[in-house]
Amino acid sequence: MRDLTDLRREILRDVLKCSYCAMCEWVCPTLDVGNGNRIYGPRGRINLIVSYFREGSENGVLKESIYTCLICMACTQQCPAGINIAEDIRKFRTFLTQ
Amino acid sequence: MSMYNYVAYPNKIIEIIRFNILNRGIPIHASKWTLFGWTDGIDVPREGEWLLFTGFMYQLTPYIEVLVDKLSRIKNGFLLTLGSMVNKVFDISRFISTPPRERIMEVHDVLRNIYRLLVASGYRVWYDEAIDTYPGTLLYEFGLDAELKYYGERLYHRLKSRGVDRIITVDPHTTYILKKVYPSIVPNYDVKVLSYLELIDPSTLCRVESELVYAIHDPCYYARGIGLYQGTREALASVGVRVVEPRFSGTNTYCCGGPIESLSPTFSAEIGRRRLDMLLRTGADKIIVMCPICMANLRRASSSDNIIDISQLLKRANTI
Repeated sequence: MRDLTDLRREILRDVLKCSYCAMCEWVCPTLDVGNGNRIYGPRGRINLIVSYFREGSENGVLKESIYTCLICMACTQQCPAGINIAEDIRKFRTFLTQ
Repeated sequence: MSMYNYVAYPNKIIEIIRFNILNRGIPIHASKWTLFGWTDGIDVPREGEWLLFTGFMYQLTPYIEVLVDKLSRIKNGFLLTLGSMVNKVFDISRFISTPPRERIMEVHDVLRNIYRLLVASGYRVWYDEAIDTYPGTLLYEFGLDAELKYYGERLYHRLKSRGVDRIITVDPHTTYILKKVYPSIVPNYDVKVLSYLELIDPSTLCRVESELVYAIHDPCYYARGIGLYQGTREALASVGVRVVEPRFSGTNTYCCGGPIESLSPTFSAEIGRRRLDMLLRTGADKIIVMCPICMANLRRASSSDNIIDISQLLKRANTI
């Protein structure tokens, strides 16, 4: 099993490629249901992951955001930066079950 | 509904499911008849070339439907805390989830049908209750990668101890995990995995005589996961089924919401409602799905009996 530090580095390396262009958002079913609140969309989730790793903050919003993701991969195929968004969110769940 | 309360008790639910998968080999209880009863009355060989691996996804769906309905009514976290403690001794899902018998029989019919389609297409299919098992999908979706690796290695050992090197799957989630996930985490993983939809031979099917129009809903893990969407349309076209495409289809398909049904039943249901609306806006009479989770979540949103599994449609086209 990979060390959590390695996993953190691996996820961060990928999500930091995000330029917040929002190309991922128009296909996201959960952003739609979350009334446009960005914590329910891929860009918001990536932002929260970065904040968690940098500031170590964990709160109800983080879990709400990460656990409403369907891991449906719709966002991943839209990302012009090639970020594996769905997989990063899925792997990040490891940190919420520790 | 106030903001930020779609996911109430994720860790408690995840713990119950994690415990059940690792210790009981299945996320929620299902009777033996539910899991294996689809072979009753048909003579499925115990040896052959292609192992039919159901992964129990179809069989578990009727139980999940009942459980999700109950979970959506739980407003007290204490009940889940208590439940996760008691679950270590007694499987609590055994007591709270009893689906209607006809729903289980429908699932058996789907599996029996798939088997017959494969036989008609010329595949030497075999099945063994001792090998078929839950593939670990929820461990994957919950990000429990250490447990997933352990579970996958155990599953692979079970397959190899029977000399399995070719598997036919029946649902997209099992297909994806066996075909895409385990090869990347289980050492020396060497099994050829194909969905039955990649194997059925359209020339063995008869035409469907129907004026109905069907909207097609692609499951994410087929369309985006393994690139399977064109073949299903070709199979349907070859038997004369009139298919219409909804907004968001093929690799751009829109998730049914099912994957988060246990963590957030309300949110999941709302996504299902929106997808159903997109599918009905095509003007179609019926909706074709090819995943038991999609079927459950879209049916939860639907007020009529208009959602069918693709194999139920091809059943009428099958001559054996």
